[in-house]
Amino acid sequence: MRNDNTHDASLIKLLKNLPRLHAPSSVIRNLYTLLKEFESDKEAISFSVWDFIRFRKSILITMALTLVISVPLTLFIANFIERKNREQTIYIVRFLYENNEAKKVQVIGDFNYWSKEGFALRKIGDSGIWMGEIRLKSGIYKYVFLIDDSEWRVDPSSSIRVTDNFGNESSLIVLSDDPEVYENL
Amino acid sequence: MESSYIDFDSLLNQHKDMIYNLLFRLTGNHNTSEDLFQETFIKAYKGLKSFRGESQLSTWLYSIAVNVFRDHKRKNSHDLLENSIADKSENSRTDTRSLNPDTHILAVEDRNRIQKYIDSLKKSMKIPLILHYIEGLSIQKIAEITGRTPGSIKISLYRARNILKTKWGNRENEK
Repeated sequence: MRNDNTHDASLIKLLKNLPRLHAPSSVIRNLYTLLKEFESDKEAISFSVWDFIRFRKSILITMALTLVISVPLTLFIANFIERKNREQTIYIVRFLYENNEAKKVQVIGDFNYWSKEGFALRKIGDSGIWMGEIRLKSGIYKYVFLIDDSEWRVDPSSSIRVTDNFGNESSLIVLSDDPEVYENL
Repeated sequence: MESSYIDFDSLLNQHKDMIYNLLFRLTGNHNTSEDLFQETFIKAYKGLKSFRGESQLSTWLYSIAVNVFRDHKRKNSHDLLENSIADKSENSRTDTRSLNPDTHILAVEDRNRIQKYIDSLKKSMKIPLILHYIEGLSIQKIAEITGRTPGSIKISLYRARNILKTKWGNRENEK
């Protein structure tokens, strides 16, 4: 035990007697250089932070201006489109055709891309009168009656008719409130 | 900023040797000590304004240095070559004016050997050993610096002493 304590004491003495080292002056010089760099970095960082705030400020101003301009503009455009849609008049066109012998009468034309599956007219009693109604937007349409899926007939009551390059005749319907349209027919 | 610079100057002047000595004893390497020394004082510089005086400045600086050393060990735990780097000798950097007359009794070879033994200790033993026997701090202070209990510091000191005694006793066999 005593021997152990002696060893302890000599070891402690050994440790305490280790020379104390001094910080080399070159390390101190380097430290001050690093600190100067740190300070200049800090200034650079604070400058960039200020820049960032200014940048954010300009973003906010841009956003505010965009809102101020874009909201009324969007409202105006929406209103314009709505008005235009409202102006896009839908016409209910009633077709009448007299044919006692026909089993089936359809109306085909530009409005259904001349498909043979046109709008079927219904026969009114035994009068031989076929009648049907189609909802069409304003425009100029060519059309014919298709009798029993095989025979094309122009509308005898139509006042305007056109003939294509192949000699096929069609009736013309003009749906517009603009007088100029009729001028050009 | 200017005032903190002046405070820092006096802090550095008063504690530079104490911290350098601690870091050299912890690392056993001058190059690493220099790096860690700079890191310690840069951290102290950054933290000086927030230092609230709850502990002594020296205790605060020791804590920073110990943490810097711990971080360094953590980052370099894989680097087995670190301790094999040359420049481990303290001889060239020792200021003979500061030596205790008894120091001369300790041969250069023995000093290097005891440093080598210290280097081989785990940091949980090395830090209390250096702070207590070389830096002369109380167990309570070391507990404060390392964030450990005084009891665990005492156990570490006991184990470190035993390891060093065994190695020192066997030094003849190494030759």
